[in-house]
This record gives sequence, structure tokens and C-alpha cells, in this order.
Amino acid sequence: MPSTRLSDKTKASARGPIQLSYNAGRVVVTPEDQDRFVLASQLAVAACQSAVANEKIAKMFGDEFLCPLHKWCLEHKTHVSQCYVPWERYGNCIKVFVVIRSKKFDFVLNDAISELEGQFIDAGWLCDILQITSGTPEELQAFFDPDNSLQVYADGHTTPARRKS
Amino acid sequence: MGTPLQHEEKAKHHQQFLQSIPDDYPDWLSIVAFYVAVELLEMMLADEHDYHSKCHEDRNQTIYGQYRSISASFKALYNASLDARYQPKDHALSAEEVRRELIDKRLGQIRSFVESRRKKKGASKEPVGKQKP
Repeated sequence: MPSTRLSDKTKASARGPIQLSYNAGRVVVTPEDQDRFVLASQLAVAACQSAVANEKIAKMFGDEFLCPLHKWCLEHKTHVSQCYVPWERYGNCIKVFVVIRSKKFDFVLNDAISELEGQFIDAGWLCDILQITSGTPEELQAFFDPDNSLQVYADGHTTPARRKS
Repeated sequence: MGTPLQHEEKAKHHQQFLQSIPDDYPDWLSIVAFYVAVELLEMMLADEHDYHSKCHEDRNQTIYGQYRSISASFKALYNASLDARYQPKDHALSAEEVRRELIDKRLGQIRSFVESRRKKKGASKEPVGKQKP
């Protein structure tokens, strides 16, 4: 399913990233974002999990990918300020953007990201996790659109884009 | 898509350019260092697996699958070059940082890895993609 279709479907009802919270190892989504989350999960994992039923995909994606990713962000919160998974397609893999606190590329975090990526790939989740140096929301948009993304971690705050809508 | 020899020639070509870039352009040092690594790895993939990457993501996955020990180094070169291309100038690493962390350490590790594998295969007569300054 092309990413534009999800954007069209959700445009009228909701804007901004889908904000996730976590409870006892489970992803929690607000009722208003539930439909968008299911669709976004299908898109994000379609390339590598296409044979699995849609709702099961969303659950697996939450339990096996998003929760560990969120946990990792918490463990690295001194380096990480935000984390997003856009539902646009990037080749055959899930793209992850980790926004770091530093304005300069973080070589220490690079090695930790690479290790995490290897763990996901070993578990069958083909992904590409990138760090983005701290910047304005406009600068983030050079890499991805936060409004068409799952917000996996954000310092416990909502994003500026969400607050405006 | 290319032959191992074509990728080797491109690696040498990029390496020559890398050595000509002055310290005033640390962003371009990062970018060109990444493309040296790309050609070295594409040379190895073509040589060992007759494989040709379709895109950056495809190459990254293949590196994880086939050459895990250099994946963190390649990730740094890939990610830092994206940063250099798309972020404002005030985010840029210094030329000294690029030369030490990206070129000497990460690209150096990848080059050594490629050369050692070629030596094992008996295919290389001279260092790959490295020119005398």
C-alpha cells in the first residue's frame, strides 16, 4: 500500500505523529490514534512481514520492535531526545530516526545504534536506524516527516508539530 | 552495478579526491570518505558474492549479513555523510574529527578488512583504494 494512501485516509481526522506510550512491555495508543497506528504498522513492516495478518503485525511490531526500541531510547536518554519511525517506505526496511541531543555526530552512540540494529536484523526485523543531530523541526524534515511517523520516544513531551494542530 | 575491477578503480578515484580536499570542507571529507567505503564494499560484494546493491538500505542489510565486524564502521560513515549533506554547517564535524574518526579509524578498518580478505583469496597485488599522499 503506498504511503500516500495512509496520509489521505488520516488527513481529515488527525495530524501530527502518532504518539506512543508504554505499559508493562506493551505499546499503548490513544483511541483516536488506534486506526492510524494499525495502518502505520502495516505499512512500516509490510515489506518483511507481508504474510502475517494485519492486526497480528501491529501487535508483533509493537511488542518486538517498538517496545525494545523505546527501552533502548530510555537507556540512552542522556544521548537521545526523540525517536521516530516514519511509515513511508524506504527500500525493504523499517527506517528509524533517533534524534540526538548533540549538534555533532555522536560516535559513541553510533556503535550502540549499530549493535541495536544488528539485534533487530537477527530477529528478522530489517531496519536502518539513523541518528540525526539536534535541530529545529524544520531541520528534521530534511530527513523525514514527523507528521507521518510513529513517535517512539520524545523526552516525555509532545512534538511542536502536534501541539500546533 | 559493476565488476570488482570497476569498483576498485572508482575507490581509487574517490580516494585521490579525498586526499585533495582541504580542511575547510569537512562535510565533503565525510561524504567522499563514505563513497570510498561504498566502492570498496561493492568491490568485495561483487567479487565474493557476485552481488550488486540496489540502494543504500539494501547495502546496509547486506553488510550486516555478510560482514558484521565492519558494520558499525560503515554505519558511522553512512550516517555522518547524511548529516554532512542535509544538516546546517554548524552541525559539521571538524576536519580533524573527520580525519581521525571517520577516515583513519572507520574507513581504515574497512580498507584493512577488504585487503585482508583479498589477500586470503590471493587476488590483490597492491593495497586497494589507497594512494600515497
